[in-house]
Amino acid sequence: MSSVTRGSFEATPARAFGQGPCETPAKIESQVLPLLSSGIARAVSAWLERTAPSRRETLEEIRIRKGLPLCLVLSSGDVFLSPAGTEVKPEASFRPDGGEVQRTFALLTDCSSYAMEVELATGYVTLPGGHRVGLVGRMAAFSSEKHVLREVYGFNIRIARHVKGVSEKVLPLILTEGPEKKPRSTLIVSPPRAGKTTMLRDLSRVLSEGRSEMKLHPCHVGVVDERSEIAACYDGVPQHDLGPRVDVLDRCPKAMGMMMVIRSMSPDVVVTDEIGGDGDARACAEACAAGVAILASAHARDIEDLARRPYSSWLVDKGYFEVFVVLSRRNGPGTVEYVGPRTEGDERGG
Amino acid sequence: MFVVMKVLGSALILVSGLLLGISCSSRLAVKCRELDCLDRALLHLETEISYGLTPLPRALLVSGEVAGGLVGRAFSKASALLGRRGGMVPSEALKEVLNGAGLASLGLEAQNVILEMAAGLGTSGRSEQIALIEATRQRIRILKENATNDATRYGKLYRHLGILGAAVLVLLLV
Repeated sequence: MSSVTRGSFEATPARAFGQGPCETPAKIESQVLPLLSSGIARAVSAWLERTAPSRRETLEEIRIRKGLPLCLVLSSGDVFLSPAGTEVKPEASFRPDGGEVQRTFALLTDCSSYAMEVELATGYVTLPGGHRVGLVGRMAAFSSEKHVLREVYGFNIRIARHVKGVSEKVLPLILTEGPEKKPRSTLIVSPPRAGKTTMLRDLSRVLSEGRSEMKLHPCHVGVVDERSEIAACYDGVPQHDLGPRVDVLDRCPKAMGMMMVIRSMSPDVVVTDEIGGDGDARACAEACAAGVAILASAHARDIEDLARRPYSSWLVDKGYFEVFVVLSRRNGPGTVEYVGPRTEGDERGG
Repeated sequence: MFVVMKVLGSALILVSGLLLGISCSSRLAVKCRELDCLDRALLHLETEISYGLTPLPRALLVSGEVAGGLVGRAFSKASALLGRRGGMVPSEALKEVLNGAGLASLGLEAQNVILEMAAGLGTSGRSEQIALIEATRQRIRILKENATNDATRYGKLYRHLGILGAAVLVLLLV
């Protein structure tokens, strides 16, 4: 394993690498609010109107629960909304009733829940614009294997954001040395909501576009998007800009999809999200052995934490991934804590 | 002159009676035709949902185009009001088009059957949707059978009653 320059930059939130403000409020207005029942939409819309731009751009999630306070998750914490969209205490906040929840469910599923049975069985649906809606409710079991969400009681609408440029500082550190740069197999590690997918998405775009100033030729990128989160395909079209040379295998299990995309599309890089079990880890190892660079992410606090897990310890120990990128929320989502190889007795921040 | 006017007046009364009879009789025939269109639209909707898993707005549009008639137009209009595009749920969209599309010829009973189906449309899994549409089709088929019987039984009667009524009136007046 050739050495990689270890990241020595200060822990900085990913947005600091960006190219100006993201368009979150406008996206919410046009893509999310029309899909909410009128009461909920009114409250969220009023909040967006009266809140300072810097604060409303930190909106990460809209949480709707039947009979419970309407909650917005900002990067700084949660706020509860009154029917008029003012920030209030939970006891004074707007509580959507069953009708509002049912109507929202109908609109979110385009009145076609029968066409989304597979998605509903996994517990989430993807909206135009790539926003992901997690669902909870009462499950009905038809057999030991088949469970269907029969009634929906709550939603978590995760606002998709594609912050271009978040990977600019990480990119040079994941490339090979020499006259012609190529990406190395890289694992992005962080706890939930620290910007793994955003980083993965931006790296996919940059690799797909290429960077002549870095002598990085454009790569063909194969994305195995098991949870439709990286590309957020809607109607077969990626809702995020992943560059011009990207092939997306949407909603395909990683373990099956990685070798499938290698065989069918011969990519230079395979991108996948959240390695979460032995099958996924084995598929990564197999893909690495096939001579393709893998760009993946995993839930863990840091590399040592990852190495303690049974399914990923051997993947880390055997050096399938040459570079690790550790992210945290220390200074906001996407704070880059470390970029480099795993070393013995490594003491990393975080 | 008086005789000519009498003849003309009598002819007018006879023609009016005949037209009235034909109008009443054709209303029954239109009801049969529209119920037939509705049955066809529902059959196509069922196919779109069961085999194509087509999202409801698109499924309604295609079914409406296939079925034709006022019902077909109503389905197409409802598809534009529905879901992510129009912001309405099926019961609201179909209620709105039933009120505005001149579908009185279908009869109140058939309209209620559509609205009852609309309340459950798109809210459950594929097999439940097929069962819902199949149950609705059965009810529509019964209504269609009754309408066909009415058209056969009363269609001719209305036409004859129209002309005979007019003739009686002419005799009384003359």
